[in-house]
Amino acid sequence: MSEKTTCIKIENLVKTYGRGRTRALDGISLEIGNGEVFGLIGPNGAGKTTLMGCLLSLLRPTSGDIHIFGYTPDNLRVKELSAFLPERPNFDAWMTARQFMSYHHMLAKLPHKTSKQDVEEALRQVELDPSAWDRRIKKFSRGMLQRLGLAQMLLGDPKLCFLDEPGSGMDPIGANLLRKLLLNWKKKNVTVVLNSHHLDEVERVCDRVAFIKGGRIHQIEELSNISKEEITIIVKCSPELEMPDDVLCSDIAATLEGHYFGITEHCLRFRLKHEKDKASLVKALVEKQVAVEEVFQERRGLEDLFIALHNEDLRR
Amino acid sequence: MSPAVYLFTLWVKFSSMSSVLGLLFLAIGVPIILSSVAVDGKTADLLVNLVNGPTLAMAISYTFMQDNIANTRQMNDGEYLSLLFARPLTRSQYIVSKWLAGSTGVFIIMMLNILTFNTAQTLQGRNTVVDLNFWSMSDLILNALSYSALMVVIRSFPMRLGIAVFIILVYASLIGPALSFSMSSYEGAIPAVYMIFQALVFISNFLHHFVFPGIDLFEVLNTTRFSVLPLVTYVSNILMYLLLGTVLLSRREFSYGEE
Repeated sequence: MSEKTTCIKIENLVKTYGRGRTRALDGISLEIGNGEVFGLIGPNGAGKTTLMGCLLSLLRPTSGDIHIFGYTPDNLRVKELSAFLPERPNFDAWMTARQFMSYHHMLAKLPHKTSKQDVEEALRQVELDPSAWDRRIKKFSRGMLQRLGLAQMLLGDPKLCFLDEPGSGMDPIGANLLRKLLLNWKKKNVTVVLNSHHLDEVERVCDRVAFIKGGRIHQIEELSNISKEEITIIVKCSPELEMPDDVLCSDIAATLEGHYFGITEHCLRFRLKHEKDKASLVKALVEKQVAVEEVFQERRGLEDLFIALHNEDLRR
Repeated sequence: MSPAVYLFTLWVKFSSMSSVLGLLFLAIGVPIILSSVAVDGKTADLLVNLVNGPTLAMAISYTFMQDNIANTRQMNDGEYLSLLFARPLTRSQYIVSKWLAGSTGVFIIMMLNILTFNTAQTLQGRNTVVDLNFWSMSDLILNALSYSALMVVIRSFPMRLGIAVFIILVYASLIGPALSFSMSSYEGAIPAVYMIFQALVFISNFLHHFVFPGIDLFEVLNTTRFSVLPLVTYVSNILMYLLLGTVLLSRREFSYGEE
């Protein structure tokens, strides 16, 4: 974490279910700075949603501590300063969008006299068609529900936002809008915790990401580091000749302190720490009789990191 | 108390036609039906006891808390309440708001109920049985508060347990007094049947005294020897129900995702 003051501090957080049989969170420690956009990534069942639940005080940790703005997560001051978008927008279907927003405006303890103005401003910001404002929520599409969910987050100018899979069900325009809102929050120094499977979305907006698996943080990466140094090399092999086996490729990658991700459609995928290792990789492959046809270089992305960490874990 | 939750709870009942029709049936339909079958003073008394008693009030209060304290599966309550409790709202505020909203609903419907019953009786040339004065209104409010407190607890139970308890309480409040009323007709019946009836009445009375914290304000304030005990019993019962409701809700965890 940078020099920013701490917004969220998690210490050795454990959450178990079934009298300790399942450890959903297994000793998570983490600090998130004020104004930081922090991503949680990991496979299904990794514990991301459980972590989010603990941060929102919807789940009680078995042990460990969480402090948000210096308070415990169930403190009303924390809730006044934060906003949340759940994974599945299960709202009061009988209400109209405007009524739903007014209800949340009231729940957020915002001044009644600004209610109409605040509600309309938030609905405008998420670009929900005004003709839908007085329509019952049950007639909304998934994308519209997501927009409404985002709109209720905007009420009261939160200082901390929790978003759980905000991009699911959104069309490209909606996804673009979400990105705009996230970047706007970033500009306003709002702290954001983003749980998403859309790695490209995470990559575009997050400052740091934590890779969570099996209830543990396996790695925390600064996104700026990911894109600058490491590179991904794709080696296309001749389809007529026999493909090299995974062990050979993994060994070659290991000698260069890199990673081998596997083969797809006659293409071998490697990650290297330094660009200068690219020639050595190709040379080693040719020496081992691999029928190299073409070599491409890709910027190392979050997806590669995700796959690499996941594969590393599988190998263990 | 949260004004948002209070208003929402009342509002949700008037959001659909079926819900409004159900409430109108309880407020107007039931007393009209009862009035038409109250052919003599004794039956009218029984029916008035029924109307004034806990059964109807519990049913009304139960429906007012239907969409919340959340043991309904169809609402995916974990997901629904997770958004609610991410707002600056404590579980005790939620419980108290639900309780007050339920009490308000019960008071309004019960008042309409009595007015309709009295009107129907007058139209049929019979005496009105309950006068709407300060004391009867106070009793209505106090009963509404106590029955709603009880319903808050029942609604905080897991769904099946809540329904089972509700049915037992309905039995205690409705079937028991009705059986007790008609016991004299069964005195000549087979002893075993009579014993079963007696046992049922006993259970009903026991439940009635144990769970329904009623109070007669007129009697408490106008008696020559003022006793604080009924007031203490009444208040402590309500507090216990609200506390229990808060504890049950606070123990719940809201898991909203796939995990």
